[in-house]
Amino acid sequence: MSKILHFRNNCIGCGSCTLHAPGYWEMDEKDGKANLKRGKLCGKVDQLDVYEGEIEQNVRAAEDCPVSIIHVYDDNGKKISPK
Amino acid sequence: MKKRIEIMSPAGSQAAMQAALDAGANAIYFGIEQLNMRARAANNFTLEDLPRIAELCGSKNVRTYLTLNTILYDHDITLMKKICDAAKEAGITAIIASDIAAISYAHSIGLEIHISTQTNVTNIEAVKFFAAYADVIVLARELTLQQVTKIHEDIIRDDVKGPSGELVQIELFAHGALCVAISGKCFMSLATHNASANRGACAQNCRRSYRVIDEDTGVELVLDNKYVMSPKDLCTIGIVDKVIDAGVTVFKLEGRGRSPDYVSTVTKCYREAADAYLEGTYTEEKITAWVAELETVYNRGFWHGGYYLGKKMGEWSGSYGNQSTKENIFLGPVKSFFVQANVGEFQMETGELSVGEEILVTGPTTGAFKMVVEELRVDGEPAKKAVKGDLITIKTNSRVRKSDKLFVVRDRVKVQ
Repeated sequence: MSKILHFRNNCIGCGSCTLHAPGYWEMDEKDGKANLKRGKLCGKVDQLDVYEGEIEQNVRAAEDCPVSIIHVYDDNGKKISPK
Repeated sequence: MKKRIEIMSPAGSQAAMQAALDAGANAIYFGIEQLNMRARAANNFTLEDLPRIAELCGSKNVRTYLTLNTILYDHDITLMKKICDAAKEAGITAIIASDIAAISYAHSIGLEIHISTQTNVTNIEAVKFFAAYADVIVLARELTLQQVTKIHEDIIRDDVKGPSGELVQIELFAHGALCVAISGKCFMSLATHNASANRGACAQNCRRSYRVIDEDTGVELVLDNKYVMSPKDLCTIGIVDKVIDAGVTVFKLEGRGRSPDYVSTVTKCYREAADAYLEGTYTEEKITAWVAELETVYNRGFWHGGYYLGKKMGEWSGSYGNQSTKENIFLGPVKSFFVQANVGEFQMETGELSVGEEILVTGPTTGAFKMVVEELRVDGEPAKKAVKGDLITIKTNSRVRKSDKLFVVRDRVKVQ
């Protein structure tokens, strides 16, 4: 499986990820940070397993994240974004 | 009557805050969570830190200002209100705000407000508008001193008072980084990196060097300085008299991303300069000494007087990053401190240190202090020099702590 990681503590709440991949990201009105929908918290990092076909829009979210806290890994565990 | 001039120092970390307190700041400003102009910084304080900051600073009669000055989206409102409520409960002096939502909410709960430079106040009518909410207004950094003077005169003439019933006070940036754009209106970092300066995520791409090439012909324009968008840092130490005469009562020092020794040096110099002017001892000799001292810590070269002195443009940095005359070279951590003897024990993890050299010790509680090493012991024996691997002891001017780091301060070697 491919994987999305979200280092949520450092989110500055710009909302960019919700525009690129609204099915995966939403803003949390409680603290102004983004949530990775269906993500599971492992330590301080939210994680979500995804299929390869789900990667593209999340890579765009990762590339555009101003604080580089969205990381996307491919099936082989290789980080593909941010480069 | 003697005027009171407030020196407001940046506190981007616990150590920087301590350095500001020790150097004589009357006020500190700091950010928490993500709604401040240094949201990208890793060492912002958190909501839980507020009571401790208010108590520590309050015990020293130092005012505390919380920056809450990004633009705000709908999803930020709950957090913004939570921060304002927590600030009021903790006894933080005021918030520094620019978005109407923050200004309006803070006002509704009786929390004091400073209008941020991000709001870009450049005229008396804007001052009157914000006077309904704020007693202190940070004027735009791009005004001239004549314009600042006129606004101050008009505040007196029109009796413009803030919520406290006192005349509105003018706060001005006195030292530190300037933007290439008008404060609060830059889109460059957002356009190139999707990193909005107005959300505290500025990528500082204006600080890089650029080339200008005609795409039709391939001809490159010859620029005498490729840093075409990176202004030098503002320095007003030489015009402190004019700034005070213009009606400014709060000197704001930029640099929440800077180190504790930067905060210490800049705070000390401006504190001394403001006091010297009020006491009638503000002289050219002193100004020269302060400028030399300010040059020892982080700077991009100084634009003396900045925009305040008029229309002289073109003070561009000419190189990337720091141009300070001194640099701090890490030697090792503090191992222990012997209270009665006032002696610190340090582990030399790297480098060399000789008697006669200046050292800097910095840490969260210690802040930053510098001293010249007059006596040095290696493994308990007097020595002239210590090297990597040595356990050394030095008699220090003040207490050092285990979490502190030792640096040697040397002249920076300029690489051409």
